[in-house]
Amino acid sequence: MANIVIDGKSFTVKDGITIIEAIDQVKSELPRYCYHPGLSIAGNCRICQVEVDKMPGTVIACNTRVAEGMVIHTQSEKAKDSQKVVLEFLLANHPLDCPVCDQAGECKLQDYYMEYGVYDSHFDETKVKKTKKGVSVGPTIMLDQERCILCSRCVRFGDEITKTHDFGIFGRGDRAKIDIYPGKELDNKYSGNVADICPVGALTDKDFRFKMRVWYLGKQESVCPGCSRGCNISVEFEKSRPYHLKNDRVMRLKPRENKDVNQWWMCDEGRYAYKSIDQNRIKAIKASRMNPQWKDTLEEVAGILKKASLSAWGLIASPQNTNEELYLTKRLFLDTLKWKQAAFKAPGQDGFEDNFLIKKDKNPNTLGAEKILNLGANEDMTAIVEKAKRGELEGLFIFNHDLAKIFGAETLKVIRQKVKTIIYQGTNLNPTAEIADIVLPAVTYAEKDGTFTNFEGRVQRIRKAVEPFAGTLPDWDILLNLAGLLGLTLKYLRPEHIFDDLAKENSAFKEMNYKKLGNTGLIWSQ
Amino acid sequence: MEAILSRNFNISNAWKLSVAEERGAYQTAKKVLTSSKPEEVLAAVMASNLRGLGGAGFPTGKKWSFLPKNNPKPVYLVINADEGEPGTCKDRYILERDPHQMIEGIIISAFAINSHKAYVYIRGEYVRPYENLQAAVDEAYTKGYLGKNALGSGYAIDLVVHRGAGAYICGEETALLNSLEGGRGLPRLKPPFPAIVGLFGCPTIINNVETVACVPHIMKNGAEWFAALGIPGCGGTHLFSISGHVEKPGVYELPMGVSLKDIIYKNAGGILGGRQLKAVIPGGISAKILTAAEVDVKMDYDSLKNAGTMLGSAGIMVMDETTCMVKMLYYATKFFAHESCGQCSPCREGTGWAHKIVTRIYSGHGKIEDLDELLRIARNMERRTICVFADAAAWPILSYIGKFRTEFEQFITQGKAALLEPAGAH
Amino acid sequence: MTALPTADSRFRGNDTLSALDHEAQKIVAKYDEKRAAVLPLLHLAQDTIGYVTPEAMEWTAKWSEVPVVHVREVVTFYSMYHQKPVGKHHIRFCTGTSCVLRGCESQLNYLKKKLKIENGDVTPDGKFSLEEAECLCNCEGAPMMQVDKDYHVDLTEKKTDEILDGLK
Repeated sequence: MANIVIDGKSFTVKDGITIIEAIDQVKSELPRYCYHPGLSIAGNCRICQVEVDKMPGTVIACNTRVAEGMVIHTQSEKAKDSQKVVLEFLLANHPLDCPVCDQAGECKLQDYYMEYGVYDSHFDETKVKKTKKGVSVGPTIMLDQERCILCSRCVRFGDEITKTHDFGIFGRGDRAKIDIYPGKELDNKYSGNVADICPVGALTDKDFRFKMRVWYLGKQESVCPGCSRGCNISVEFEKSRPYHLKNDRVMRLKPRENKDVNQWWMCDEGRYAYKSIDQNRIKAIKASRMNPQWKDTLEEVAGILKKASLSAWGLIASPQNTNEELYLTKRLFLDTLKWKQAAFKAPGQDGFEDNFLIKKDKNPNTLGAEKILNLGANEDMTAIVEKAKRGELEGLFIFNHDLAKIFGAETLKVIRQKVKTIIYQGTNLNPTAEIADIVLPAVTYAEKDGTFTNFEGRVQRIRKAVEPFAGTLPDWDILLNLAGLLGLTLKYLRPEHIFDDLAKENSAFKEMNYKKLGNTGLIWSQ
Repeated sequence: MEAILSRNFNISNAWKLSVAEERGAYQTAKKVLTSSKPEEVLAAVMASNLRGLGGAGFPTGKKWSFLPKNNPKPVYLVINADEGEPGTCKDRYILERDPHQMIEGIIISAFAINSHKAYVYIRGEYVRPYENLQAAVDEAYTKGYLGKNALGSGYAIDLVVHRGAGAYICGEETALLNSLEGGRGLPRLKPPFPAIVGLFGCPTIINNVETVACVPHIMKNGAEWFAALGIPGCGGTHLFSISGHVEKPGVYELPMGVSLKDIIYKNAGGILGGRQLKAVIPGGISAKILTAAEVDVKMDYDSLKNAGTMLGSAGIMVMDETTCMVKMLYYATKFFAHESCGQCSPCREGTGWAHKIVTRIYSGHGKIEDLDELLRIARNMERRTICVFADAAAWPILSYIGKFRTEFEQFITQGKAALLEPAGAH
Repeated sequence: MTALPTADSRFRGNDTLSALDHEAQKIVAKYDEKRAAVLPLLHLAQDTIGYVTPEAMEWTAKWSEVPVVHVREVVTFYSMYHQKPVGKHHIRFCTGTSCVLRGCESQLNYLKKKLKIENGDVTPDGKFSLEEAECLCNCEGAPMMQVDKDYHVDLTEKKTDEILDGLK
């Protein structure tokens, strides 16, 4: 360990880390463009100048290692001056087109330009002409060469993270420019990350481009439901002008740092899957009576379930649901109603997997469902579906799964013919919801609180980013109401309370609570 | 003075092994490899006060001693033959006219640092020197002077000649390593230094052509002899390149510490056409300029440092009274803007910015404020980058304007005509 | 003596690349890591074809096992690699400080007028191309130029005529 002083405050940090790492660890501030904790050190932008006692001039914090007794100044006149000098160089050939730049509001160049007050440009010469202004470099990303400050983050990302070697710096001196190889495309499964790491508006996300100014965005910490990795994300949504884009509330997802899960990254599939939060949603209840409301519909469902014979109904639970919801599912269907036929796993649904982030299991909570429902060999739903096809079931309660997608439209048709009552609870429209007798509109992960358990048993929180659409309810809320009508009185106000009981009952979640899970989750105890 | 490094420069076909051997080539290497220990070579080089002759002037023995002890990785010896500093043309003489002298130096140096593989990085434009060097290497292999059993000593040394492709920055030793590894010539962040993490991540010593060519002479005639040729702390002779407005431009081998005035007026025959001296750049374009009043200075690292400039690569460029300093700054800034690798923002943007301002002044659209602005930009470029290129780019700006400000001001206010052109000037 | 391919062996097109495979193998074998062969492979391809074609970059990438995007970085970084055809005789005219002091500007202007081209151009007959170069480090012979492999020093208009007119 090394005892160091940063801006007058003493800290003890690990030996041999860089000054910038120490600054980040103690949550101090220092400008940076090329430095990124997930990439190799380039040291080229030169903005992270700090003053260190007994060292001449200023040094860059990203490539200077701490030593015992080091006294570091980030805010001294010498340090600030040096940072400002570098900033002026970075701005020399930058177009300063902030009013038409989509990065405005989250641009580090703009931020520091304002902060350091470099308004009065000394640069009176003609700027170097870099040809590519707003050109597509692939399905997800636009490139604007003249805004680029050549920090090389995107080059290093392609070389070190995806190993797809997409970007290069062509030419030298002030003629150098970033580009992809002529005729090739930036088309890898993590391409969206380059827009995140670009500190300026040179690489922007086509999906988000010009959709809205970032200062209108609200942010909520969550977890991507796209696969069992559980990448930590920030759900970014329309905050102050909900009328602006009508029902498109969620604008984008951004990865959120979690060194143990996704580091700083997320895949494109997860990144652009947010549209299902606002589009193609089930917003209306379907029940036997016209114009059904929640109260009478749940009463109807309760009535059906009360009469249902244990052996003639099948439950198909969902690994898309939270741990809390699966716990309620277990309490209600398995413990209280004592249904014999329950499953949650869909066969043959494995998708693409790589050795980085993307997992083949496209559900966020398969492990949670396994541990909580504890169905053992029966977790695969095929047996139930086969029974349904043979007409051996009188009813099915399906959470979120689309049987047409899993087993084919023909199977769904047969099931419809052979099964008298089908109750569907889910978020988005699909053929299964279409043919159900009763449809209970649930909310997506962005509209509720809860937890998912990822592929390695890490329990992580999702948080409500936007309010549910009118007429929709979180699964946990629906289940609580249904339980009450079926004689199982549970006094939970929030998912957090459900989780506390789950932690008491299920040893995998032992001694966990929301506070302990924090922002990055905990691996369960076995 | 007896010619040492340059003794074969005017011997025809000295690049051929038969001629070189008649002149004694490889005898010292053979003796060293068969009867000396590496530590003895290191001790001799230390005692000789040999300093790096590529420009930095770092003591060679000390550099070698930075190699890690008990290191399991291969050690590389890399010869910097990327001569590119404007005003400098000395290494070309060794490479083209007497490559065996350097190869012998490489054999002894590699032996001293326990390296079995050496690379010579030669600038791409030096095609004829490359051809002679490669021919010399091939002949040395054929004769068994290089290879698995170099000079019959049992010590293995391989030597690969690697051509650059036109980038001044590759003379910076870590940029050279990146270039040698097949990439752009971007200087590396330091630490780590090449002696610890160099070529292919292995400990590496990078020496200049002339530096390594000194080694056989040290081993042949003794460290004390070599040290005595120079001045205290800086042994041997140096190949001084002198060009510009002198009667006899050329490469002159002279002892360290020789007077700059003597080189100009005695060796190089004085100012061209008998005109008056105006200024001298003593150590390549990166060195700060000296005015005619400042040329009474000794040519060695410390004396020139005390005079506010540097010995650098010992490329002396002489400017007579007809020289327009605005024009010279225009060409100097053009050079640096063209050659900046573009990695660090102060250098990438600063070199281009300064050149644009100077171009504007030179084309008759300058403003008096431009001069202070240039000085400000130059000062801001200093000490803020990975390598010293930006500093070197700043020094001509600082020194030309600093020492010839009146001329710059006159040029701006009165145009080119303000410069008095004596009769007969071209 | 090891000679580089001469100008006459140029302009043979991309199909010659595969004919260079054997040579490429030898080059790669000289180095401790294959990637180090990028510069010599590009030199070889350019000396054979006349400039660095996209195919030459791919070929270099293949032999050096360096991603082609980084091969292109190299091609665009170094001034000696050309991405389009140059003249049969490529002229690098030194504009370094020493040459400027010794009157390279008027010599360069003379050459431009003689060949009727500017910096970066190729003569219409494809015979000559001109590149204004930074210091070529033959300062003792200023003003000077390089034509193909050779340095020509102490240039005068007469000497420039002799050199260029003497070339086929």
